[in-house]
Amino acid sequence: MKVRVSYEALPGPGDYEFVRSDVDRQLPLRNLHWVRTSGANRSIRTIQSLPVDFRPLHSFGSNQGALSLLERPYLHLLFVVCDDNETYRATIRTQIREWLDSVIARQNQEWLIVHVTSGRSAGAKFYQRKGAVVDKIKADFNTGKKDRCIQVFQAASAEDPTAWAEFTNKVKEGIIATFDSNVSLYEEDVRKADSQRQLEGWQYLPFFLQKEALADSFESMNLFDDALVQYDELEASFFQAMKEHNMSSFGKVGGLAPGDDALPLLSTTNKPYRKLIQTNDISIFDFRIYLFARQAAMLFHLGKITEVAKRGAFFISTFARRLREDQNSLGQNFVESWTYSACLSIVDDCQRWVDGDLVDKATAASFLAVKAELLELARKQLDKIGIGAGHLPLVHPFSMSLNETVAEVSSDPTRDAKNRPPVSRRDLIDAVASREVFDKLYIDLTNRSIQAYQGAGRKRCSLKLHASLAALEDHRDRQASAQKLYSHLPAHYVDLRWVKIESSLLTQCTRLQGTLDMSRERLLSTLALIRAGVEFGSKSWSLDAVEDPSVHRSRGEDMTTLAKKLMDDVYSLSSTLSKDFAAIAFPTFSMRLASEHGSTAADEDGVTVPLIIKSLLPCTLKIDEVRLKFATAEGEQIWFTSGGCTLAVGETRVTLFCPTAVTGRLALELSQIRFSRIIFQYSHRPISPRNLAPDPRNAPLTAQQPHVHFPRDHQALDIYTELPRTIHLDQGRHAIICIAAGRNHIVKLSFKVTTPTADLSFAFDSAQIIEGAAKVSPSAPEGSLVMEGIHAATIVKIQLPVVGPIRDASIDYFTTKRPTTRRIIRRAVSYPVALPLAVNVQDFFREDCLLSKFSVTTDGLRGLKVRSAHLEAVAGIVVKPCRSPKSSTLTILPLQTANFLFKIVREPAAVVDPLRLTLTYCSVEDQLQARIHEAITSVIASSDFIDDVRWFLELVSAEICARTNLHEFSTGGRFDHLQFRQEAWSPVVELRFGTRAEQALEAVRMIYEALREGGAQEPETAWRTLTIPVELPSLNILNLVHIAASFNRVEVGQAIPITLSIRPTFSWSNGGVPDPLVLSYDITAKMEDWLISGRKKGEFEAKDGEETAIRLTLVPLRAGALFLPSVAIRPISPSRHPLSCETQHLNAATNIEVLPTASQGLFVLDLDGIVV
Amino acid sequence: MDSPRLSTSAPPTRSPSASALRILAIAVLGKHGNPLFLQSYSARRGGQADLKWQYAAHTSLDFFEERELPAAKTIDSYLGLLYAMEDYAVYGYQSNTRIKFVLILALADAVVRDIDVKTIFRAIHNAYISHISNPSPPLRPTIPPLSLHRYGVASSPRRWTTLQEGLRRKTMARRHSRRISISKQ
Repeated sequence: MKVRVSYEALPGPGDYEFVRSDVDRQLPLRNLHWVRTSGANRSIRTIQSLPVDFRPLHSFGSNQGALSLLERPYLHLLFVVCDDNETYRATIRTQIREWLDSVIARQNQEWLIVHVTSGRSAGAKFYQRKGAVVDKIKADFNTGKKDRCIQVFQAASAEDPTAWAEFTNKVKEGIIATFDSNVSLYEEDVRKADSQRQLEGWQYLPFFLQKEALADSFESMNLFDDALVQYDELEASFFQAMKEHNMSSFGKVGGLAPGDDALPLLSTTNKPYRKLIQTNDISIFDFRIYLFARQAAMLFHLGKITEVAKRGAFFISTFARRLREDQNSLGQNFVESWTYSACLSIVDDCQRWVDGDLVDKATAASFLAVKAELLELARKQLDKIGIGAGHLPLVHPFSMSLNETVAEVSSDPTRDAKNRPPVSRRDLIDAVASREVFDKLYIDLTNRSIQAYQGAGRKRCSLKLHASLAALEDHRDRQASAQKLYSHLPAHYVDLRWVKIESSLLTQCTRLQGTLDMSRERLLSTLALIRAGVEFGSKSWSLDAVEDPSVHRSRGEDMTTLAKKLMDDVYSLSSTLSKDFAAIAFPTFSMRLASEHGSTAADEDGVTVPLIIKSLLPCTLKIDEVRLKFATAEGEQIWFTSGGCTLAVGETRVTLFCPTAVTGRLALELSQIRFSRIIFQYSHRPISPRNLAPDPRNAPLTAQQPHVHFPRDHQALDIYTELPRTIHLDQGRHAIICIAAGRNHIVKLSFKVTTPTADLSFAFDSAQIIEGAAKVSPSAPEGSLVMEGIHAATIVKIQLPVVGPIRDASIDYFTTKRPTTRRIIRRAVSYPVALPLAVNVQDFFREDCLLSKFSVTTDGLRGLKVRSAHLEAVAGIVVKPCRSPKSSTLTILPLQTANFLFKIVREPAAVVDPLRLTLTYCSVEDQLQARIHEAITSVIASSDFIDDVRWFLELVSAEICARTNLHEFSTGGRFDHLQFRQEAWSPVVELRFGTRAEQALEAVRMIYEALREGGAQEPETAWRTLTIPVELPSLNILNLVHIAASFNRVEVGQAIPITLSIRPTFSWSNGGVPDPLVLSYDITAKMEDWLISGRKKGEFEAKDGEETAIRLTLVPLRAGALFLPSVAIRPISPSRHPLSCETQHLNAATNIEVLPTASQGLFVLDLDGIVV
Repeated sequence: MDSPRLSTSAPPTRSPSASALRILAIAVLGKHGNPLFLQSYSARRGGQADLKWQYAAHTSLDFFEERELPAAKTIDSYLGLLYAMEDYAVYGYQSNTRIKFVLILALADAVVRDIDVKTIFRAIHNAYISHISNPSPPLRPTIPPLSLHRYGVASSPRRWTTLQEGLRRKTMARRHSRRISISKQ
């Protein structure tokens, strides 16, 4: 309703036409400011724009008392069109008076007299000013301070917008003043009515009317905010009144009129609501709808579309609940039908606003979300109607829509059924009647809702609706499309583990996939369903979301059968798979090692490890295999397996076996359970630090990787290398591979060696068994050796020609126990290439013999013992050692050198083979080891620990070696320092032998004793021989030099004549001496000893055995025993190859005794005679 | 405990419009939106009937997400009414560690005051805190329903006032005990 303003024109009503266009141009009024003159809230309200309804005064009728304040004019305007003073005085003035009297008689209404003049055309204002009509009017009618008379110029506003500014200001002032006083009046009334609330007989509806009048006047002034506040307060006081007064005034709930269920919710004109309220004849149904529609209208004015929809959804939900309390009086499906149409009606109305108006994007988006809610609410009604009409079954997704709270009053459905209004909504009636129509309606509405939810970004809400669509398809026996719809859904719930929803969806999936014969999909769904049954908090398994609560069975038993059935399904479905399927980190099982210590198998090679498998399933389960993967420190993978077993509920202990005797600390990497073709696989590697938020289902039980320690099995097959006892440096090298069979009777054994570099080769075909009994199979593949029939407790040593270092060796072998099991042992073995000693030779040639000096040095680290050095004579050679063959063993400490000298005499002109130097030696370490082994084997041989000899060899010798200082041992060679410490040995022995610990301890003690008393007896096994080929050296020229002095006792300065004779011999030469051969000689002597006179240097032609003599004179320069000078002789003849030439001084040791001079000469220098 | 007395304190006849907050379900959701706890207090419970609340709690995550948006972000933990769907209304509350509490109340044709809902949420939050502060939690997580039972929210529909009374009694008792401990010092 617009604000009304009355107008009157003088002299006649037709005179308004002069100003009508001017007045219309001012409308609507803009920027009105209202400050309450009364009341506490004095904040300023601005009305942007206000349309005003201009009406002639007489249209309000004579009796305005019947009109409400709102319907009365807010302002009375009188336009006076008269520029003539006379006329004014004669008639107009009285007419104005009359008008004024009639207006003032009405209270609370403002008035304004507007003098209209044709203005500027009337000539100079200046002269007319005094006698202008407007002044007269002002003088006559203005009372009080307020100026209620203004003047306007006709048609001026067209050119000048400010010309009528005063008019608009005055009109605004007037309207605001009236409005303000009206509000005060209304508020007074409301207050009065409100204060009587506690009194008996207070009625809500009159109060409502008074308050609504106030709201109306706010609305008429475009103050929708304030109007909305009034309605909100009314709603609150309605609930208050309901609570306090039980609302006897509302006789009935209502909603009985035909078509009530399909009314457009937001219309205030469905029924004459106001009249019904005034006559106190309105039903709660109508009243609530009216109240909400008014609120919505205000919100629409404010542009709050989303708010309308939001409040609408809430209102519909709450009021439907209220209606349901009076279900009995309402028709069947009435509430559903009303809710349905109300929702759609709000959606339509709001949509119209959104589509039509320029609503900003944020509002449109937020409306979309609420729209989806409303559509879903409407859809729920279809669920209920569908269930009621038998179109839908009363099962899960549909039954969610059934109401929770109201205990349905089971009333006789036939009772006054005729009085109940039937559902009048056409589409619903059709839907109830026909299933096809219902389906179409249902699917359309659901899709609309899904679209809206998706548009608003509410993914989860739309998922929920998808599920119900799928359920409808399923119920309509369209399994293929239902399966398709269902199969997409569970994945959305997996990540955040909404397992209940997931499992309910998966149940449907598995069932549908079962009927559709999609075995692979069904298998995956069943697995997912079993996984969804694991509860994360309690770590238990249950699928109660799948359960139908109506079926009463004991819950535990039910779960057991369900789990059993599901696992059986998985088993049978997966058996059809062509490939194994790995289910990684499946949460129903978890595995941990039962112990950190593995054990060796009792009577065969291999180790076992105990494992505990925890199954969360409530049923026992037969599994096919359990496998564990371990890694050694070198990265080698070791698999442990167990056969099929039955997993009990909870924990089951399983022992796994590995046929290879592994030793040491192994890290558990993987564990697997085989179940038909499904492999449940669990990683035990520590969590990577990069993965910050690991899935708690996948996380291993402990942060550290589990480890198992396996003891060494001393009766298992073993492999090691040895150096050959004899080494010939000039022959091909060999390695000795030792295979200790241990307890095994080996049926067949295949042996391979890998080397770090490719340029090494092993002549397997020339392998030779040098110890032990085994049959070498001729049909071995390239690069391997196959042997058969090795008996237990024997050691087979194979000599293999080898070049270079060996990296590791691996053996596959089959034993008589478990002849089908191939066992593999892979061992990294080291084979030393360097010898622990070095030999150098130095040759000294003489005319008739050769002296060879062999120097033996250690490798600088280990001491060495050399028992003998023997140079083997060949034909034509006589060798005489310097060292007596009976002399004792020579010990060379690491930094020492031992020399062995041999005299070799050659028969003239004999062609000889190379000589061989054979050294018998051993390193101190080897000797130590050998002596310990000797002691151990001799002691053990007489005890009953013969099977465990390897244990003793390993542990006892390691202990004794550790306690022995090698340096002391190499000099002393005794074990006096050894002390048998029982307290140290007894725990070790007990761990190994258990009940036989006493005897074993005694055996150890005896080993100690034997060593201490064993004295110096050397076991033969430690000694090795090294054979070095030595070529007989040759020399082209050997010069024999003899210096003959005339006398050998002289004084200093006394000359000695000498004869130097040089006799070259070619006897050590193997030919190749040129003829003629010219040699040069050079005598060198110490400068301070001798002064040489004569041919000091010279040349001569050399002939075998011919002597050349040179005469010289020597003068000694100092006293003492002086050696004769030495002579260096070199060949100077040009030769194709260099000639070797050596000089032997035959009398090099001869010295000349030089005496000091007997006569002394004294020389005096006169220092004074020297002039400086 | 005092539950018999509480049950007799409920008036024998209730007018249909009397405002009674009925808790249908309570859910506690983790930081990422994973369910930590969900219990239905509805008359129909167990099996498939609980799925309705599972879905309700799950869809409420959409609303939590919307409130997380910068435009709608508040510093208040209490997020108010998230949505109403015919017979139930879903209220949300988010702790500062982003643990979400979802309260599903039966929708009534009456004004629900925020202060009442907030009080329930605070009770749930306290129960949650006491549960996670327990260094030795029980094997089966039964704490939240138990402690809520103490506040009067039980499996049977019960009046909201009992919940409030229970709370008030508890806080008074705590205050009293604190005073005693101070005087001992």
